[in-house]
Amino acid sequence: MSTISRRTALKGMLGGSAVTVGVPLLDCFLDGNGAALASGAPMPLRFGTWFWGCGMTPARWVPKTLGAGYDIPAELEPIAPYKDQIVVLSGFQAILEGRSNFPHSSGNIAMRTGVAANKPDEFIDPTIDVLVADAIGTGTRFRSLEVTCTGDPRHSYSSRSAAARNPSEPSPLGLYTRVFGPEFQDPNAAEFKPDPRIMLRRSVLSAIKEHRDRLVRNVGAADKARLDEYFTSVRQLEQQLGLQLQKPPPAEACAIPIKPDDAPVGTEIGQAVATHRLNAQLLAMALACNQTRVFNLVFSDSASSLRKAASSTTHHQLTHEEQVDEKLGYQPEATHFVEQSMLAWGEFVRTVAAIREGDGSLLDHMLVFAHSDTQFAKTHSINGIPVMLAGRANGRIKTGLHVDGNGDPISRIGLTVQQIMGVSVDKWGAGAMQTAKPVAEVLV
Amino acid sequence: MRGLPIKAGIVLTLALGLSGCGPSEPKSAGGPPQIRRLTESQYRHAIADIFGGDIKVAGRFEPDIRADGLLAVGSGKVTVTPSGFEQYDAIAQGIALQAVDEKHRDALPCRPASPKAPDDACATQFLRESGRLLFRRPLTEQELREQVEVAHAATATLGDFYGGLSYGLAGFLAAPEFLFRVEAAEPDPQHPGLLRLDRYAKASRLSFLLWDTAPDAELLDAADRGDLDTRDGLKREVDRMIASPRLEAGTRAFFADMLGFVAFDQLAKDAVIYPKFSLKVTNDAREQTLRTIVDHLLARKGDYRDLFTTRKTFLTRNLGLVYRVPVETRNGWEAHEFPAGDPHAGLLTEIGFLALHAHPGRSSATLRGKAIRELLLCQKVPMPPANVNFSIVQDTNNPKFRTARDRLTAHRTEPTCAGCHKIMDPIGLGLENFDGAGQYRPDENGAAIDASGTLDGMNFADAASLGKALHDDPATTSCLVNDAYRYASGREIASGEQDWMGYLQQRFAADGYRFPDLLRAIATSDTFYRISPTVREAAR
Amino acid sequence: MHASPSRTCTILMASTLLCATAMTSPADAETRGFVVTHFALANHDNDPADCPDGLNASAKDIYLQSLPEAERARLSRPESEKELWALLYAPGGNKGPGKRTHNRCADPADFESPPLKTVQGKIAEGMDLQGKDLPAGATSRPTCAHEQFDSLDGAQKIDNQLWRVMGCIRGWKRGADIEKYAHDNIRAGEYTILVEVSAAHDLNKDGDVEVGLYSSNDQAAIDPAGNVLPDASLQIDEDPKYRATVHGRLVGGVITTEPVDLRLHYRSAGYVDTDFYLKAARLHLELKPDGSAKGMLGGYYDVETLYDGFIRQPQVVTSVLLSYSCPAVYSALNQYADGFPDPKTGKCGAISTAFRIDAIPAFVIHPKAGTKTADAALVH
Repeated sequence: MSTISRRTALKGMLGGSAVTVGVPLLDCFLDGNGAALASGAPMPLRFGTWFWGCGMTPARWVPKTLGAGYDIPAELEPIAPYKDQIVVLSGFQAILEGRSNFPHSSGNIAMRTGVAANKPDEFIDPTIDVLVADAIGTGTRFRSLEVTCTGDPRHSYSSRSAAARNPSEPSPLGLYTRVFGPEFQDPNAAEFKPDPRIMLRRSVLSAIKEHRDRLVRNVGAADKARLDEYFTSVRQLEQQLGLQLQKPPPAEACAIPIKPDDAPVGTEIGQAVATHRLNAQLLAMALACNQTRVFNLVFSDSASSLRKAASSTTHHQLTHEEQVDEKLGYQPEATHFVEQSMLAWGEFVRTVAAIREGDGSLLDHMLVFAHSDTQFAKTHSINGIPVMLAGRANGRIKTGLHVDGNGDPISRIGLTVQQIMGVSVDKWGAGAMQTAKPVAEVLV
Repeated sequence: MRGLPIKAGIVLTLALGLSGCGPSEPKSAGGPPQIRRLTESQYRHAIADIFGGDIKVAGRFEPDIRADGLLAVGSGKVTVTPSGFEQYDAIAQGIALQAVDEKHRDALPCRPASPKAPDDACATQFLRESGRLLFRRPLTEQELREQVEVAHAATATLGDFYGGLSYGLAGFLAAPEFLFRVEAAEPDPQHPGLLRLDRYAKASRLSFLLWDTAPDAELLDAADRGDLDTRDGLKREVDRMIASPRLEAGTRAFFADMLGFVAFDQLAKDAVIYPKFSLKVTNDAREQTLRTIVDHLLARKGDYRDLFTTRKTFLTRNLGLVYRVPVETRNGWEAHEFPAGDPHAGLLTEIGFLALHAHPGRSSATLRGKAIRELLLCQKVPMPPANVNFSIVQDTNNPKFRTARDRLTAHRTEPTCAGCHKIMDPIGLGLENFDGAGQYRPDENGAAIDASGTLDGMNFADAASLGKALHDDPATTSCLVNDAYRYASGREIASGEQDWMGYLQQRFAADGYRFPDLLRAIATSDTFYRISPTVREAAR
Repeated sequence: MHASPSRTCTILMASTLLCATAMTSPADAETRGFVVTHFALANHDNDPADCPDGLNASAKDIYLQSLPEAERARLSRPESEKELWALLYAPGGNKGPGKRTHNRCADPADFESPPLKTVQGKIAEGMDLQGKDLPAGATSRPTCAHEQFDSLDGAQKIDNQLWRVMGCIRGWKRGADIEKYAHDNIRAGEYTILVEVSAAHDLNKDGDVEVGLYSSNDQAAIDPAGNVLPDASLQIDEDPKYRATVHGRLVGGVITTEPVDLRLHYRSAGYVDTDFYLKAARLHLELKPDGSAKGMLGGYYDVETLYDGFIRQPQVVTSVLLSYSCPAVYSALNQYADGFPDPKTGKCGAISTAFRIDAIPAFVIHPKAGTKTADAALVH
């Protein structure tokens, strides 16, 4: 083993944004292939969702060719450099069976829970990311991390039940503090001494769990479920603290980012893009430092409230009020936001691809499920909501394809994603969206 | 109508309708007991009351959720997510450390024999007192013992009594009995076969309704003594709390909930179109409306309906900039009365309503009409259908459609849209003399603004007369009564409570639509504390 | 007196009760307040005829020119900067304004200097301070002999000796440092100037007016882009020294006032904290249809106050940055001063000039008699 430094010099980035650096894994920690840790375990598999609101322009987004080597239409330009690591899924349908199509809501709920909603903005069943986190997220400090680029913590589509919507972190500084702040344990620190105060905090939480039996004795079923959710959250923190009492496994790509400025966050498109840049870097490093395996990022909310400075209308309003330009064939102002969303998505992929891990990149060891809430926002169409799966998922996905769903239920995608991530499930969704048929084209 | 005096010593059971004082409280089966998560504001108030106003509460609270239009109802549906609990735990640690730090040690009821070793007697005394206030009831011996053991072990590990004590305290602060208001019911000896809230649940309901905080020691003492189970004892505490200046906190919390003020957190206007509209204006606008309400309803004991016509309000210089009136007070608030005939009359013409229900760069008759319908009249507006064609609405620079009214008229010719929009737009168009930031304008793009319309049969010519129409609309006061009771009880109206709601409305009218009297009517009633676990919510 | 609602009324619809109220108020008296958004020396736009011999050199340049070539080259190098400064401005270091130290700017009369290059052109902006538009019955003020400029349109004579003195100094020219600071410092809240016009009649008609000129300790309200916002409430200075009221006439939308002595705060953080002290100041102000106002304030700037405030700096580096020599300026100011001659010596102690004013609507707040406003606003 050569005695080289584990850290390269940090490269600063413009504007005080967080710094990322990929540090090559020391060969001595790898087996011969360089694809696994010396312990024999594969590189940890990560999962995330990346959401943008108000869809796209079908004629300019959906590739014309199917299969490998698909073409790149105008709105997909930003993913061109990575298309061999991205699956594009079009033509899958959210089937509501007579239930209302709640604008910017029903499609998203169908995508993430496989169910047709009865009320707008009501996620009754657990979302895909929660199911995946239950399977792979229990061994890290955070079961999952939720962030939004819009400044509003309510913009989150990660939820265990109607009563338990995981709030999004609205500020990159807040995310930084939460992950890399005083409680961060460097996985590569030479010495490790468990903090006695962590033990004490854990004992406090253990004592709280004792209250459960007393409390649930005389309450109805709905309240019992709520209390159980609370106690689950207590246990989650208890486990998180417990992990902090153990020496963390080495994370060779891990480097603590520069603390971001407390810049104002909000729905002005420039702010959202800047916030996204920081969030992408912080999340990538949080994954590389094994602080979590699962994340959820909201670039814009489902009825996108993003707006341009000095303009009186939001993206969402533009999708409805702007005329389709006869010559161009699309709504120029509204489409600007689609383009910005896709540019941000491209930047996200680039950011995780830039982190070297093992013989590849962080992107090779993860699956990112990117999607919107609608296909064409002007008509609230939920037939063909755009979806992309980015990453090689440790070799568990056949990537670089365009798959057309031919009107099949969109829950097939959710089922497929869960299976790729190792969730034991053979059937998912409800009613006409119940399916046992994953998207075989992408399964290995 | 105060009616005949009640002879002292006679306990009247209103369920038998023997009271001679006007309408008598109808029998009601009540509703299920609630488990309600503390709102952020209640949490902060409770901590300030119990540990002092200088204690810093630092952390991000899980968002309160609105259900059926009220955060208070949502509080009975939410739970605590993992990241939410992470925050509660961190906040609890912070509070506990401050509560026992050197600055605050003198306020503790005892000193340990040694500051480096456990002292269970002192820990017990401190934890019993603070636990009672935090759990809003006396601790059971087991609950107390558990936390004393935590503190003991922590002290032994750290070699620091106060440090160890803080872990015991943190245990209370992160416990569900603090974070949630868990209501317990018991048989009602005065009405065999029926249930009522137990004395501590009553105390909590009173203090959260009237003061938006946890019960103070005096109220808990009254509960201990059984006073809240007697007519006179209950009345005494209600009177004390309504007469207190702390009624303002409860009033503010209620109206901030009813009027949806959490939306101020996300309110931003386009800086180029409305350069005067800064974050300071946003904060002041919210405060202005609350001050107007508190001054009118509490200080002046005014008629609720007059909130929609009053010209009296309060301004800062930031607001004076937007309203275009002079404000003498350099930093802070001064009373201001708009002159007779001025377009500013009533809450609907305050920035806190106009700017909140508008777009970042322009006004919105639809948003304002919807807000009036839903927030002030308690009338539901249906969701828009999914496949709507909005292409008719032109941009604001189209010379053919210069005013919002023109643009929305063209919009409303689509039959699928007209059904709902005719519920909202005609009302909101009455406020078109105020732009998206709440600034007055007589015209738009050079065309005169026509602010006339009809509210459920009542014609109005402009914003001021729209306010008058709201004043005269019986739905306005019945909505307030409905919201107040739902806010107080934390749930939807139960089936079988319709007579009770009618009674409350009659009393509200008889009391001259005075808000403190409405609170008193709820707080001194039987129904408010009546529990029936099997009753389901009324169909809406 | 506060601006009445009629100021913002556009008479359009019979249903606008607002207008009806204004039209029936007693005597149609009207008051309008303004906050000044730009206030700078009325300097003629850059014309080569003004400075045919070029601009003035700074004290540093003069000193360097006086050295042999080798020494000049050595001291001109960046690493010699500290030494050069020390030579220019030591010994004794810098003391505050008014304290005599052996320092060119603090004691200009003690130093020799080549004479200041002054403006040679014939045209200037400003006002005619003697003769033509004095109020009836007023006699012409005594002055020290000087040349008058011609106005831009040639129709009148202009007294602007301050422009003559400062016009060939780089930092004092149109668009240069001094003008920029004057503009920026209003927005930075360093100083605020208020104008109030009131009359017994509606200000859309001709008639007599009263004009108030005030400093304010309140910062002008600005928007995120740095523009001054209209309709702010700003209080006049608590100190009566910084308030002036004067009669005037409003004709065809233009106000002309009688002369009044005027003192206003003028500040630029860290450099200037002085009084703008104009004797026999007269205001020309056009009230524009969009509610703004534009004009000129002319009068005689007290020379010692001007020199003390702007030139005698604690950090004499200003003379280098703006490019002048303090002794030369001092000498020129005294030489060209043309107003308020000393009865005994005949020497003029004030210098004619004019300042451009732009202003937008504001509410001018008058503190209630007997009340002390407790809140501090601008902090210096």
